[in-house]
Amino acid sequence: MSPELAASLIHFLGMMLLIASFWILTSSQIGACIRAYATHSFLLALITAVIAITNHVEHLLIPALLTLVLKTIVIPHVFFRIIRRLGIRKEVESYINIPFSLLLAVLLVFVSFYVTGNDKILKPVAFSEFIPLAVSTVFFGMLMMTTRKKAINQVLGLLLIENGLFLMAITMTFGMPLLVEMGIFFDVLVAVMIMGIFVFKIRDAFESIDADDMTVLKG
Amino acid sequence: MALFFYIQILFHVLGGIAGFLFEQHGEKANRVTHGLAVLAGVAGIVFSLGVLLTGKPWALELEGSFPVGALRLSADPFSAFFLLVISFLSLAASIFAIGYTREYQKRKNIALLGFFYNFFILAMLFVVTVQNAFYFLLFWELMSLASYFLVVFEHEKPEARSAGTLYLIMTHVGTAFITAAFLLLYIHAGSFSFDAFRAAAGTLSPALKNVVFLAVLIGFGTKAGVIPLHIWLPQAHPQAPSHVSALMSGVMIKTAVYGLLVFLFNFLGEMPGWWGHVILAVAILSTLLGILYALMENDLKRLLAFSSIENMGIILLGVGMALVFKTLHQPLYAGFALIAALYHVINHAIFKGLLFLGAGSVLSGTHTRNMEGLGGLIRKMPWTAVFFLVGAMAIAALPPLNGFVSEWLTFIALLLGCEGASPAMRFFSPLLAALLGLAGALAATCFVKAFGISFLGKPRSEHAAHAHEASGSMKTGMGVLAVSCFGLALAAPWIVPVLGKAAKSLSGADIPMTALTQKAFLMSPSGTSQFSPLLIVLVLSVFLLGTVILLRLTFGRKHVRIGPSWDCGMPGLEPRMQYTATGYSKPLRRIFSFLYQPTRRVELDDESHAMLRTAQRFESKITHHVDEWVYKPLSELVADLSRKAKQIQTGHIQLYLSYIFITLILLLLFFGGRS
Repeated sequence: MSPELAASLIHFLGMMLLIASFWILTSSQIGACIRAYATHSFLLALITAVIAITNHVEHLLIPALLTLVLKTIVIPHVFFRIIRRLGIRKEVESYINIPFSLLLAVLLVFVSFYVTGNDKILKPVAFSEFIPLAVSTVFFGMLMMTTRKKAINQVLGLLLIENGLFLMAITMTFGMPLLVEMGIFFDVLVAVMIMGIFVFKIRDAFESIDADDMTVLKG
Repeated sequence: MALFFYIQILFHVLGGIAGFLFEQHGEKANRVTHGLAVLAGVAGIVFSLGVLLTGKPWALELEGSFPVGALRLSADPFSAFFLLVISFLSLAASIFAIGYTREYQKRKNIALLGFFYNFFILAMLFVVTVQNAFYFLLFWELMSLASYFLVVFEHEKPEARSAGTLYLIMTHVGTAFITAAFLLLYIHAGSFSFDAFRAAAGTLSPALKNVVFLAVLIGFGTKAGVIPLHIWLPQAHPQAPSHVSALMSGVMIKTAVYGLLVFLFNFLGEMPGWWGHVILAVAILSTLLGILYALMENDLKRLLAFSSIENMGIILLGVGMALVFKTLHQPLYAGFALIAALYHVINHAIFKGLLFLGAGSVLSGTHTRNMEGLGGLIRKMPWTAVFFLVGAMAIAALPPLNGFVSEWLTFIALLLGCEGASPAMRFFSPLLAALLGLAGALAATCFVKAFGISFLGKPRSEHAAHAHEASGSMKTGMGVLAVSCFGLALAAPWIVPVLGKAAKSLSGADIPMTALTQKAFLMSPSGTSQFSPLLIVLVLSVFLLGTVILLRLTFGRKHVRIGPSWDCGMPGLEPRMQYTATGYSKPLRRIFSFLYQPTRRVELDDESHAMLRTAQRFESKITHHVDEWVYKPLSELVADLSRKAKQIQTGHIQLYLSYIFITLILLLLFFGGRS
């Protein structure tokens, strides 16, 4: 792969990643949201693979493969099962409407480009264009967690944050030691399982998974 | 010798854990956990006496993986003195505990009690030996937490829980100040090791010194329970099981004296004169108010707790005079005052331990601490009564007992202020001595009340009427302490040189012992007064025996008649006709009414029949000014701020997340950003 081709491919993939992030935020159906997350993870896997090949860090291929398997296939599958078994309404309920979240998201992208613009920190990194994208993915995840009502959306938001952190990690360091990577993947998988169980428990206790109902827990 | 210290530590650790092996069998757990604590106490006494008498210090250095320096333990004679006090009292308390905790066995987990008890003692042992600020704070905190769990041991009682919470808050406020003091020294010296602090003491700036002094005074003052930082003490000490109360009042608050002395004499170098004056002022305030509040208490253990405040005041009077003399470069007088303070440390540990164990024995025999429900116990519990009387006489500083010796030393230390000190001290030190005398008289009144109302007269309640004597181990525990009350008095001329060694290892100044003791006499360093406890005992026993023999000779045996008390012609003397605890202290409530500001309220239950009063309610209270003026507004302020802060706590998980989110973005915008 020639360097020029690699560079343009990476630019293209980065753009797609940002679009996928927007797609997650704008989906009005939970199903679409999960599909968008799967796409986001798929793009992440591709980016990881491209970085691995262009920079000859072959061990990054393993995280890429794991991302593909776990985040694009297994976790979305688990999510679909959860919403089927919960039998909840398919619409995403939000405190703010979708155009407004879009507006906020655009603002957050600006912020992330602004705060990562400090040359002193970011100059030596090879793929420095990914850093604002990673930060904005984290921001999107947080925005999702703070504005959505259903507990399942909060879990999705958390996973989005994790994707952002992963992107940051591979671009800044070309991947952490393999053991750490494996640990993180295992963590994410276990977290999804546990949070899935929690969502069921919340449903049993409050007869809904609306996080609003949890205000009665306050002392 | 060091072997014995390792054995002590090992036994406390084992004692703490081994109880859990017998969790299901309360009695076995009790024997194992407290039995090992007894053995550990014996080992500790051997070790500390060895260091104290031979004067050979012991040290151990363990390289840890924390970046705070090595864990260095050492015992010079000064530390060994505190080790001795802790080991001795824990020995007596553990013996007592074997019998005392039997009543808990049916409803509480004895193994858990033993766990906290052993680790509480262990933490105190480490606090007085550790030579590194970081580890000192670690063990200090361990001591506080272990004692907190002991205070709330009977957590089903709401008053135990609230006392525990108050204790936890106050002790952490104190620890915060101590931590601040250590950190300031750390910044200056560049190391957490005490040796580095000692080496850097000379180069401290005066301003930093003053700040550290005030932080240390507040920090250790909170643990010592000096007024106005005392509010936790009368609440928390009575709630713990009695053998733990004995340890808390007897030795835990003394670790504050240890810390204060180490700071003042080792870490802060040359000191300005006003430090001693501040300590004297705090000390006299604690002495007087402590005993005045103790007088008004009708709860036996609360009374003892307030009296602990008084005794901490007396100890600090000695410390304060030592500081005054140190700034005036009079090492002999300073050493003498320090010896007085240390002597009162061990004496108070012994007799207050004895009194708390006695109160525990009363509690287990009658199941009440309220003196208005006691009375006549001397017939049901003769041994406890004798031991309590010994403790009461000792704390009231009556001559043949140990309290007298250390109060005499403190008096002399105060009066020495007239001879060499500054003009201000020349005026104030006799005044302080006079006030100490007043406190002594009040203490005597207080303990006449405590003993008289509880043990003499007729039982005031069913509980007291059906009291039973303490078990053998409880009697042994109290007996050990009662005998040492005599021993510490009679052996005073030989103990003072040993304390001199401890004082010397602290301050580094040489104290000529020949100026303080001659044969069996204790001398004032200025040579103006002297006394011998042995001689006093001799004179007293001659008088006592002489009187008895004289009476026998003149009247003969048959002259003793036993008849009914005169009952004013109204047959049937009732317990209700006796002096009550409240009534006994009434004259003092009148005399000191400007201080107590007593309020009383009489309510008639049936207002319509003014002539035929069937029932009325009487309520009498005194005002605790520190609580009213300082802590009440403070707690209201905190509650108010908390209520305001509560408004942002809605319970919406999304809102909490957005707090984090917004903070993150603001921080990024502030610190990141395009350059």
